[in-house]
Amino acid sequence: MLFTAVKVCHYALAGVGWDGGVAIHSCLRLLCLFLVCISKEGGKAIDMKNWARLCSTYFCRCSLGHAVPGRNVSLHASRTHALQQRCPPRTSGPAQAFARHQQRQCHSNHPELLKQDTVQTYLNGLMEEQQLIGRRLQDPALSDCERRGLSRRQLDLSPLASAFQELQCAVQDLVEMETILHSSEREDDQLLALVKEEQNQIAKCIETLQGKLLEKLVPSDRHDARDVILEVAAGRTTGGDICQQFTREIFEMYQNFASYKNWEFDVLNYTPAEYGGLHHAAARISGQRVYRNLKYEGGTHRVQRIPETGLSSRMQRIHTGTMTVIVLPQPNEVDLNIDSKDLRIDTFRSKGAGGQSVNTTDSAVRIVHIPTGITVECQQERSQLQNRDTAMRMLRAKMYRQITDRETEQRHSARKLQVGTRSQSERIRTYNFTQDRVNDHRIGYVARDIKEFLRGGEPLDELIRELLKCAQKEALLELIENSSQRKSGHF
Amino acid sequence: MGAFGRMCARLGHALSPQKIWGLSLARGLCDHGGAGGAVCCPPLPSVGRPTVEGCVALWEGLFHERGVPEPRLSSEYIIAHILGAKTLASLGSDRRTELLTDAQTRRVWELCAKRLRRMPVQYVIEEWDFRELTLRMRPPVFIPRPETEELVGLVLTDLRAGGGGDSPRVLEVGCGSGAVALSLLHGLPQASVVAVDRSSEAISLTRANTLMLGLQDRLEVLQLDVSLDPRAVVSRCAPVDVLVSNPPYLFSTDMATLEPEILRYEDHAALDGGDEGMSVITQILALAPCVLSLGGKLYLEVEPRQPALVQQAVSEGQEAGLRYSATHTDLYGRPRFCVLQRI
Repeated sequence: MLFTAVKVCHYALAGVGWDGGVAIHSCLRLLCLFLVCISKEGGKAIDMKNWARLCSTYFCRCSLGHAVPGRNVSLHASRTHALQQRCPPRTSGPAQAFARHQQRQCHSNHPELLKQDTVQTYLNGLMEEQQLIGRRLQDPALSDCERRGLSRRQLDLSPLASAFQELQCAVQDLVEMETILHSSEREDDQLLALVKEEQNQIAKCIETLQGKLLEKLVPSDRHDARDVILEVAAGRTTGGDICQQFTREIFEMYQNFASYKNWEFDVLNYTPAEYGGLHHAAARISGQRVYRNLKYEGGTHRVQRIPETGLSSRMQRIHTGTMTVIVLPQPNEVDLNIDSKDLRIDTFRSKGAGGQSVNTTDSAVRIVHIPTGITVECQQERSQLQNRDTAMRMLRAKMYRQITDRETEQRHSARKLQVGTRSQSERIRTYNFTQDRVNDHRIGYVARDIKEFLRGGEPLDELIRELLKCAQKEALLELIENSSQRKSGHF
Repeated sequence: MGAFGRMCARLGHALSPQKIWGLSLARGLCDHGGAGGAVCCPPLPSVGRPTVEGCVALWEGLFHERGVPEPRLSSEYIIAHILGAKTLASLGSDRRTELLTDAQTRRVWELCAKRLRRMPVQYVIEEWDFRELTLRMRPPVFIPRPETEELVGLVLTDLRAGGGGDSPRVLEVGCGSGAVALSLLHGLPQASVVAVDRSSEAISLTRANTLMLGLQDRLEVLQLDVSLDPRAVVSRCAPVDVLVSNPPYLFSTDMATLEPEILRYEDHAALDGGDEGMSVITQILALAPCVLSLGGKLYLEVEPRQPALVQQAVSEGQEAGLRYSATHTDLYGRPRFCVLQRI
């Protein structure tokens, strides 16, 4: 109590240009409130830290509010307090506010997910395991091998444990704020407003912490942060060029999406079809967490429309076409070793003497990896060396994809959202122009305004966010199921 | 009308919107093209304006008709260049259906006429890419070949691994357009290069490219002939850590089999290496021990039959002070690069 009084005075002195009378008046009010609370709780210890913070923010607001009207006092005061440092700092600006709004939308189902019984049991189980490990590690009669194993497990669990602790603390703070709110009987608007604001802040903090906890619970795909090579290929129809036109529109959609997300989009290969369509193309997309966002775009996309231009437009009938999207994570140099002896490189110059005796502008390169039969080609640049480098990069990505696909197939998974060879032939999305909607079949998501969707901006971003949420949920539930199976297997 | 009509039919609907100006072309198309006869160029379209795609298809047909090699690529590169792009694919799909302006159409006809006379595309558009650089090209200065891109790669790998110390000095014999010298400077910010050539056109083109790329403070360009005046080369350039060269290495007997693009437009002195193609190479092998510092390396691009000859020359003691290090193959498995070391 004495400590609180000292703190209050400290902040009083820190105020600038305060009116002496107002200051004393505010001090007295705070002290009264404090005494009321103490008496109500029957001496139960209230977190002094919270109280000190409340008093000081209230005080600073009063004093500084008089001195410098319009200054955001609570921001200034709250920066000095430990609780705020646990949450991400407040940033200003419309872009960040929008981003936060979007994030909040994304995390909106986190409370429900975490409230589920299975998830709660799983979490509690992990916390118990952490404590058990802690106790066992203190046993001096532990063998080195066991100690190492336990330490490793402890290391694995510790980020999860700390995230869980932070969440518990934040929840407790919220409960205390509730208590303060209910216990203050006086219609002190300013104090009530302050408490409500604190509540909102803590609530936001909790949401972020819940998101962090979920992310730590579900192990992320180790490829998530990688750049990708995106390939598009037109499907086959019985006639007309609806597939090729559609392929071009989809490729442009991803190009626009890349610029929307501030990623780099380098075209590696572009093979146009006749009449303005696209036969197949490839691009390298690099930036932040590209693979994580694009991994569920791979698969067969279907289009239904009455074509306005091209050969098919003569008959006003609904045509159906398909195109395939393939998303390949780019491996690091060390991940993959390709022996140059296994490669056959074909260019225009492969035949004949080459060298000074031939001048050509045909710098297309085709590389065949003989053991696996994977073929890549590139004719994007005028320099043959650059085409070769690009082709090698595509080859590495395809070979890497083969290896990871094998790993995925070995894992028996019933997930709806799969990233693997099986999904290549599955129809994942339908773009219906006549009904003006886009339908993702895996999560039953429907988007309207297909023209806006094909511009590759916010609508596509939203769909991808929904896919990621769903994937996260499935991954978590699968993880819990596997662990409970393992546990039941022990008994 | 016959040939042109057949071509129109083959190109199909790509021409149908422009049939009017297509027909007006047919009136002017003459088919002289004999040995010594001037090659007639079709006149500009008098009615209507062509689209980009239509133009590319038309000129592809014309090149094919006249036996110009790589008709599609020639047409694409020339027209893309006029529109300000390197390749047709890099123009967006919407630009490809645009109509060309009158000035652009005139330019297309002007440049494609040169191609009809078998001028290499690189000379027609006056530029080409070499590794990451874009360089100006001008006849008769030798156009860099893709194999030379690998030669630069070899030198860069060795120098980046520490050979030559922190600020390596490089001498290039026969710089031509400056491709090798400028690529090395671009890839090694600490290196300095002396580039030497006996042709004044090569020297001025190298200087122009150097200024364009802003690398003039690390490159010295000298007009010298290593066969006629090796002592001048030694006194002005030595010592260097690396000697690199893509010398003329074709056998004199093979010169006649070259295609018109090379024979009519490129400097024969940059191609003809005399008997067994070794005349300039021998001069360089004699020069190397005088300019290279101890442990310095000589990199040569040669004809596939020549590494054996170079090895022979070195082992027979004709070139004291040089040891044959290695032969490297090019992309196609042909022995292409000789590496020697000063001992």
